[in-house]
Amino acid sequence: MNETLTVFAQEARERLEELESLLLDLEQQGSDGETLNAIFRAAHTIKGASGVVEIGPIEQFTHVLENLLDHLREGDVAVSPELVSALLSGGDHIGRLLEHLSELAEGQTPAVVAEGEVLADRLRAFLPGAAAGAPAPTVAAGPARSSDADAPRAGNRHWHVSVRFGESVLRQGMDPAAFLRYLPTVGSVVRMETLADALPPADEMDPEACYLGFEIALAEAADATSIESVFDFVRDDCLLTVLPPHAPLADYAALLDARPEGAARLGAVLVDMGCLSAEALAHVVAAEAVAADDGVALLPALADAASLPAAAEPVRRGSDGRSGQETRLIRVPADKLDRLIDLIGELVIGSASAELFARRSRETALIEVNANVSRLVEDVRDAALQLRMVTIGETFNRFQRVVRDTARELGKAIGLEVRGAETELDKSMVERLGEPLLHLVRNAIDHGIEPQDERLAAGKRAEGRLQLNAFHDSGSVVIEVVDDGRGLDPERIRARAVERGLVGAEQGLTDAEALQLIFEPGFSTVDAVTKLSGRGVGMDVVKRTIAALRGTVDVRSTVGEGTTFVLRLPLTLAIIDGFLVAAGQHNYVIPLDNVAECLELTADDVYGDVFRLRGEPLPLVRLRTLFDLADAPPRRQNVVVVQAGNQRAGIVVDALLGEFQTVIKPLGLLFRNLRGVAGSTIMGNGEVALIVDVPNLVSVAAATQQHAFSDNVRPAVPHVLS
Amino acid sequence: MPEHTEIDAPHHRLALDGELTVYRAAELKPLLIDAVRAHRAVAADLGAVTEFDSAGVQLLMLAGGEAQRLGHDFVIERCSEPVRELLAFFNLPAMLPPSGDTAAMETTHE
Repeated sequence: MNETLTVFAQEARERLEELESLLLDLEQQGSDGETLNAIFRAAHTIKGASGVVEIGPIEQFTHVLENLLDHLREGDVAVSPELVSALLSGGDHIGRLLEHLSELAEGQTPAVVAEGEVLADRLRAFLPGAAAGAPAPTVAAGPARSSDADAPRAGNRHWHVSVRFGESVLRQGMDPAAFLRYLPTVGSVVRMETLADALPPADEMDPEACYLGFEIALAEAADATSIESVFDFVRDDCLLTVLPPHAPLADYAALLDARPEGAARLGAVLVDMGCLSAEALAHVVAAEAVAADDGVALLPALADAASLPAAAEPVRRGSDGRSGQETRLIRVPADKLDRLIDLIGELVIGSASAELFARRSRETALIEVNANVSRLVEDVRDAALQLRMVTIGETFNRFQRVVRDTARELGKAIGLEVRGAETELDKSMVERLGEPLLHLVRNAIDHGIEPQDERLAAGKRAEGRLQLNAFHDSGSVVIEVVDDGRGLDPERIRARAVERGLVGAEQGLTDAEALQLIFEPGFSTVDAVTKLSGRGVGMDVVKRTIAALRGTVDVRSTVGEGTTFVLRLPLTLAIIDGFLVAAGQHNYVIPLDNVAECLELTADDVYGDVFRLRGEPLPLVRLRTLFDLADAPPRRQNVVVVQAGNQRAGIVVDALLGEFQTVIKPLGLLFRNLRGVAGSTIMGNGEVALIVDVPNLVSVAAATQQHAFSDNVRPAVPHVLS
Repeated sequence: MPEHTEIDAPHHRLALDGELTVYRAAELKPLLIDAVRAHRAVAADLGAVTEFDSAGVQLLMLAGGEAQRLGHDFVIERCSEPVRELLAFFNLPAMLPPSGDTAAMETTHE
């Protein structure tokens, strides 16, 4: 596929995502002008772009969608769940067409095109005057602003932008034309009028001062803010007024009043441009209140003031504290970025090497220079990783649709709340989180949240609440999936586990341990297997996927109140700050994020594989035992106390070698089943060091300790890897 | 460089080349104004203008306005693509020469 098509596909997908989330907003919050405009624009952009790249089927189908949206925007079609469903399906269909883009580009007609016909008919059925069964055109009710519900409004369907540039603009190296050329990025310019009324007589005119003003009619703009952003750089040096479509005539009156040309002259320009009807102008100039039907062209929809965006305020001169600059973005293929990260990984290793040899040389100057280089390498590393950071919000927002559709399918009412959408994490991480999150969300809707009657009987709100939260916490990212449903019943889980032979009937499990059983393969407490989940696949896969990302998944639940799944993930997959330790002849790296403290292993406090740390038992994992190191341990050993989630363990090592930044190299297939190892890294001196898989070790050690204590036995033989 | 070509034509021809922008606005203003004041009819040849900005637009408007005040005539008889493009963008079709007169960017051979 050529580059133009690739870019088109990507742009179109972004617009589709936008369209979907806007449609969901529309359904939840009722129609407001801004949302409707934005929805229309998204569809319009896809249609326009597909026309440019000459993909007929997409253009034709989107045209049907756009047509319906136009009626929706004009208010002669009402918003209903059925309509939103049809529009969402329309978006899905465009997405499917995009999947067949290369075939379409070659002029082929895959089967998917025919499916569009059915959908197009379904969409057309909503149009006013469609066959019987079409919903009667009503105006969606909203919170009417009674104060100006009956105020006369302009018939102008377009946005109106009026700008007068300050005299100093040109001298500051800014050209009004340059700003105006950006307008097409926020809307489409229908008409522009240049006003030079401010030009003084020739002798007084300063050739380097700016005297120009512009009146612009703009269609398909999203909102006033985006239009105003075009003029951000000259915000302090211009008079700017942005009026929404069908703005109250009073606003036009204020505009005519505020401009130096005078109401008569500017009014004539506006009439000429088609922004104001002659009658409206007469009313405005006469400054009379007029009845809504008195010559002012009002569209039927406008009886409802609530469907209009709030009247734009004339922009104050002076900065209003918003960031003036729109972020400029460039697209970079992900593989180029990955290559950069790889190179920087090598650079980190190389610079560690250099530093090692510099220290050995005892040359002060060399050591200093190397320290500088290392610091820079670290900054470069951070900056490069930052490039791959994306916000989780996009992923979260995709679930709005999942929740809506799944809940409707099951006849439940469920609201999704998203918090911390701006939390950033590595792109590759986000991509791999989609599946497990989807499973957790579906699971919560399917099993967690009860049907409405059950909720009401339990004295809860009829509508279930699902929350997706994200936040940073001590070097990791935490993602929570919270529902306020029936919760997990440890009793039932125990019974099911015994039935499945996962645990012995006589084994006493704490509630927390019982909850952990849901992550066992083949475990499911749901008696009726539903279409969505409950087939016993899933939770174990979720756990495996998260573990593969060096993360952990925990579950908390209160019967009758709900369940919370907590995912803890590292910020990045490629590079970690490690703590270097030695056991036998080998070096090992413990991720620094997991290290709580280090202390000497004092024989008095060791009981088999348990260490007494300030009176508390701490399960021990001995690296020598774990990796089967044959030589005799040194006289003094150390303990690195590590923490994963809410569990702790002590890792027994020979020596502590200090902090060490390292690049993770994945282990080959050969080592895939090696427990306790998360990866490997190459040290400055060229030796390989294994990276210790802390969460894995901690859970094993904790389990061992539980049994050791509950059986009141102090096992003499370590059986960490039983 | 501007040159005055006195020819026996109804219009006095004024040719401008190079930048017609804010950077030369101070230098070009007297040239334009003097021309429209000195001659009953001025035809500006902007076929060799390489760069054109809002300051250039203002100067042409000013010259037009001054000519009008004196009852003189000021027309743009030829213009280069940058000039045509910006005047069209600003929706000032009245200032443009009749279509078809856009000069190609000229190579400098006389």
